[in-house]
Amino acid sequence: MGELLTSFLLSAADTAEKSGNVCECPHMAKLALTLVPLLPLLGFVINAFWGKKLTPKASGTLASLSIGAAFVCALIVTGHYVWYANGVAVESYNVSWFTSQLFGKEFDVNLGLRFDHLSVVMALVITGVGTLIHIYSVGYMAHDKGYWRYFAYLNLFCFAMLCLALGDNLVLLFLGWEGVGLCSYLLIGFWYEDEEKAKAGKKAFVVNRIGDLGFLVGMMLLAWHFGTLDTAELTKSAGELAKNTAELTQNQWVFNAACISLFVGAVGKSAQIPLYVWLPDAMAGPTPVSALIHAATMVTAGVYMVCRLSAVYALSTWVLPAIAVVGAATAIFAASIGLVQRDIKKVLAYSTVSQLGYMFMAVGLGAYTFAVFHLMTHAFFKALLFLGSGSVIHSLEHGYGHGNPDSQDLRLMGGLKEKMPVTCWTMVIGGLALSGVPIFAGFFSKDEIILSAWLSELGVGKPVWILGIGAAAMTAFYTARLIALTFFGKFRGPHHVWEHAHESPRTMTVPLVILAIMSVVGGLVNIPHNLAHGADNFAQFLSGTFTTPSFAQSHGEHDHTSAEWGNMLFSVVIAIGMFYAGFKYYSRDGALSRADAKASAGLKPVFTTLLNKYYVDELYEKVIVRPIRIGAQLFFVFIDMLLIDLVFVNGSAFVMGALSHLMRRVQTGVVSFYLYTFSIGAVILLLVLLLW
Amino acid sequence: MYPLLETLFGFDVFMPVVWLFLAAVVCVSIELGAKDRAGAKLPIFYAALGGVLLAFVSLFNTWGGAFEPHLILNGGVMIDRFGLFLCAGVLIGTALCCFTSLGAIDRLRIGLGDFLGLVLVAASGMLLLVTSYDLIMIFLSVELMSLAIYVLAGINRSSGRSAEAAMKYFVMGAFASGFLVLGMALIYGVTQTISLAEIGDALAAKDNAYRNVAMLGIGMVVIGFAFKVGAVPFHQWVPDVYTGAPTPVTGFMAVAVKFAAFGALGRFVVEAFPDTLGGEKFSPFGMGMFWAIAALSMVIGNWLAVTQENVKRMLAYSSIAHSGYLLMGIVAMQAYPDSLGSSDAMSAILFYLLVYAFGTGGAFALLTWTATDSNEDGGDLRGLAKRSPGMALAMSIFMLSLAGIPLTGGFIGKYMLFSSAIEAGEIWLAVIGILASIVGAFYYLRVIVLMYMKDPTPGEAEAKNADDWGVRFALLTASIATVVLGLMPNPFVARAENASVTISAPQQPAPVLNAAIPAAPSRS
Repeated sequence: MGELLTSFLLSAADTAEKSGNVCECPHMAKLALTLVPLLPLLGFVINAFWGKKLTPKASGTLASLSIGAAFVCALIVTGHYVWYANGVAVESYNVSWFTSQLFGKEFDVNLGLRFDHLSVVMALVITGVGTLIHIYSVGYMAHDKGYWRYFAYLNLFCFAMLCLALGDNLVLLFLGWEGVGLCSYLLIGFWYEDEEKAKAGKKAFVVNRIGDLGFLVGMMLLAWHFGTLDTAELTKSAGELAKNTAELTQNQWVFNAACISLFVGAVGKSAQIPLYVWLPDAMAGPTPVSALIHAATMVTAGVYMVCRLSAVYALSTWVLPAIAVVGAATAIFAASIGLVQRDIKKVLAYSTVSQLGYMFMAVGLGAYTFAVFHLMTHAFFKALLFLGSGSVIHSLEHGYGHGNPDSQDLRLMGGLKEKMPVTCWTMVIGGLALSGVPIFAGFFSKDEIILSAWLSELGVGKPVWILGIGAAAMTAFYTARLIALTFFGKFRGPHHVWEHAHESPRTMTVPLVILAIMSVVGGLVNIPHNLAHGADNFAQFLSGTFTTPSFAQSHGEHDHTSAEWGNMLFSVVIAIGMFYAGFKYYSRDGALSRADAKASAGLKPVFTTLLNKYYVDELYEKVIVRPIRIGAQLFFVFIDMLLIDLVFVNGSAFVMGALSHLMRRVQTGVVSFYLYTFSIGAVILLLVLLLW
Repeated sequence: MYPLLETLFGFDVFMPVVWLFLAAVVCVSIELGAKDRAGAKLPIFYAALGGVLLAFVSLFNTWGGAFEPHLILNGGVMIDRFGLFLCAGVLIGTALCCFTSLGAIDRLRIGLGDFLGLVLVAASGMLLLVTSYDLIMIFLSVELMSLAIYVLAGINRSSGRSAEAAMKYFVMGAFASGFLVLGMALIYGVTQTISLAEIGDALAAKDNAYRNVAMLGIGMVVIGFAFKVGAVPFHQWVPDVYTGAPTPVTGFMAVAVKFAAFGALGRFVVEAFPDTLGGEKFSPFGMGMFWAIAALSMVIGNWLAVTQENVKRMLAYSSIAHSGYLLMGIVAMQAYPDSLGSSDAMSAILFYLLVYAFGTGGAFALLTWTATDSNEDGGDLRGLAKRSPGMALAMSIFMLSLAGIPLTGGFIGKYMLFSSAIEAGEIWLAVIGILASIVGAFYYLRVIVLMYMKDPTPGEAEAKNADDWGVRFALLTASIATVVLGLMPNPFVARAENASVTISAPQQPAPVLNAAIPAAPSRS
């Protein structure tokens, strides 16, 4: 199989060279790119229509194969792109989707995919991590009766996500954007019999809709001003516009408005302040879903979108600094909540929100390459941590019974290292990567972001740097707490649960091990140049893709080696120190009860505020949800029930029905009568014809 | 390179019609020669389908080549993309009918050979009709089409309703043909020509003393076509005949006849109507008449469909309403101030016909599938979603498309038609149409409610023709086509536009092929 594909790849390259037309991409690459999203779609169709007849294993294997094949296709395209394409983006087969008049201009939208530097990262992360999570799910969902529904949704999600990441225009991107939102909704509420979980799905959907509105407004502003939504054309027009200062100042408000509206969309999808509230609740879904959708891929869509439109963002004035502030604030806000959460998945959820904050911080500082770098490493280690927590939950559920929330409670865990060594040590690696301990992937990416903040010429640079360092310290602490409470110390749950706990099956541990390896080596693609003659390979690879905003362009002109060393040492000391402290404190027996006791003594107000997540949910409920609900009730009674239902719908139906019955009498069935009406009609019409 | 092949697949001898006729002969011959009726079914089916496919191939062969519109058969038949597009539509209807009749034929107690033979003869009449370019040819092909369909409507000899339908259709059809032929005679009497383009030129000359007589003739020809498309007030036959005729025949009438009659009407309006502005603009002549029948058809068709209990009869009224929408397109075509806009309106009509063909053809195919011996109309869709979810899904797609809901072809088609009417300045007609189609959405959605929210009638347990693969194939194709037309209309819209440009561009005299036969001496 592998040989076959290699020979395909080589022959494709051959034809390209023989024809002397290296830039023109060969059909092989076009076809492979077209297949990348279509294969998961095929898997979805098969599972959706015939999945019920398959066994759980067959259904899962099919889903895994379809996304695995997409991964292979993505590799083929990557190979072609990196070695043969000379930096010319690979375009898939495309068809004209629709044409319309927009603001007086002809407006074409194609269904087509484009593969460039940024797509290399996105496509490989989505299909690669996606494949591992599919394989993991085969084990995790083996006993669930809705397995085929699960795998169908998961494949549909991959299709939508790939449309989002590979689509060559914003309309297709938006289609994927809504598609992943839909799949997220379906999968969060996967166990819809449980009303809480169904409600969590609904909450995610509604909060995302608020963001989507912003996205739509931004998209329309761009379409209005540029007359196209093709990302490459947008980048080109924006690049030309950047040189035209007069026009830029005149239309400044358009770019600011478009960028901030698009960012509102990103805030919803990527769970930033103030729309982050749905993500912690989204943990109601199956754990592999949390790993794929709510850690590795979908939630990074907002970051990806801003990176993709970096040229447009370069035209705005105050939007990028605002993004940096929102990101930094989210990073530290969510990290502080993560310090005290008691549900293993909730801790990871807040951690995800916080890490996404880092990515936006980098985006706002104009350090797009490091945002994408952190996006990639985060996909590895956060997927690993979620899958590891899933493995723990899966194991404890044997004792507690399926769906029992106790199986996720950190207070009832401990000492699981003995029972599940593979899960334990892979999760330790993931935790070290998340904390930013050197050698592990997270260190390289997070360090670069914090360094960018330090070096930034923006006024917000230094405050953002302080928030970033603070969040890093908290991250190391809560990660160590999570690992210590889960795997070390003594088991604190009931005895029978301990008896039933066991290591997960091979389908679950193998993805864990692969992800652990990636969490170690994933960072090595971009060794900063002050270390071991590293050459910032990854940053170099991506750098041409983005339009750096003016305030970030002076980077690299000065020698920052001393600042780099200083920053690195500082953050390493903080990461290792906080990790060690957290680990020491929480791995001792009775740490939790002592922590609670201490909290009740002096720190109680702080502690309860954190535990209750700053009461943000309660605030939203009071200020936004309840007034809307009351208004909706009023509308329902007066407008809907009285006016529309009673007067318009039933009234008009009654009138129409009565008239129709009256008219029906004309249809007598007697031919001579028909001919009579025919003739009268003909005479009248001929008179109309002659006299009009 | 291959002269034989070029003759066989080329259009100069009008091969599609020949293929259909040949297939018809083969079908009837197999029927006559076969010993048992059941065994002959499949060979007959494949012979008919083969004829349709060969006709398709010769169509595409002609469409694909760069070609100028030209007249053949001594100026009687015009080969242009407009005609070819309509031919393709007729062939789609014919193919759908072949597939749906495969299982339904057992209930009709007649051989498939006789049935499909008649269908193919009717279809060849339709191909001739949409390409006809003179009055004689139009009349002959209308009659060729109609006679076969009269017989098809009454082909179920054991059913009284079927016989009644055929009789009514025949009597009223003869009456309408009378209008048609009298109108033609009046036109010829004044203009002394039968060629459509020459008629238009002759009428444009204002000094003709008998011009009004010719106008009367044109009005009568339009009435003849209005009867065929089932427009109010010439629609009375539609509910009775659609309900009485066997369901595959009804589907064939609803799809193919509509394509053929609208194609011929469109060509007649474009070519034969007096050319007042020298080809720069379509003639607004007779717009009041079209306006009136379009508005009446939309309102009365939708209105009467609301109270129908029988789905087949409801679809008959819906077909009247759709004729109204299409006539609105003709009004828009006439009302546009420039010929480019008129060609947009014409392409909207063509695209709408295509969408309507799949929507209504699919719906009648489903009624064929649900029909039983006791319930010939197949109207019992109650709880269909529980019995066979796939079928219910397909029917929902057709209903949504006919109602014009987005993501289906119907939405794009309605959007194009209404927007061309509005752009042409016919705001009031568009408002009437939009209000009427809101009423229409009610009865289409009611079918979906019936299928999904009601429990099945106890006696109506298992549909016994669940293994009828012909209907299944027809339904699958039609539902996929409906969705594709809704999601990716562009390639099809482009073809419809291509087809309408050839007809609406300022007319040059088309070259007449077959130069060996001397052209008829002009009678001026």
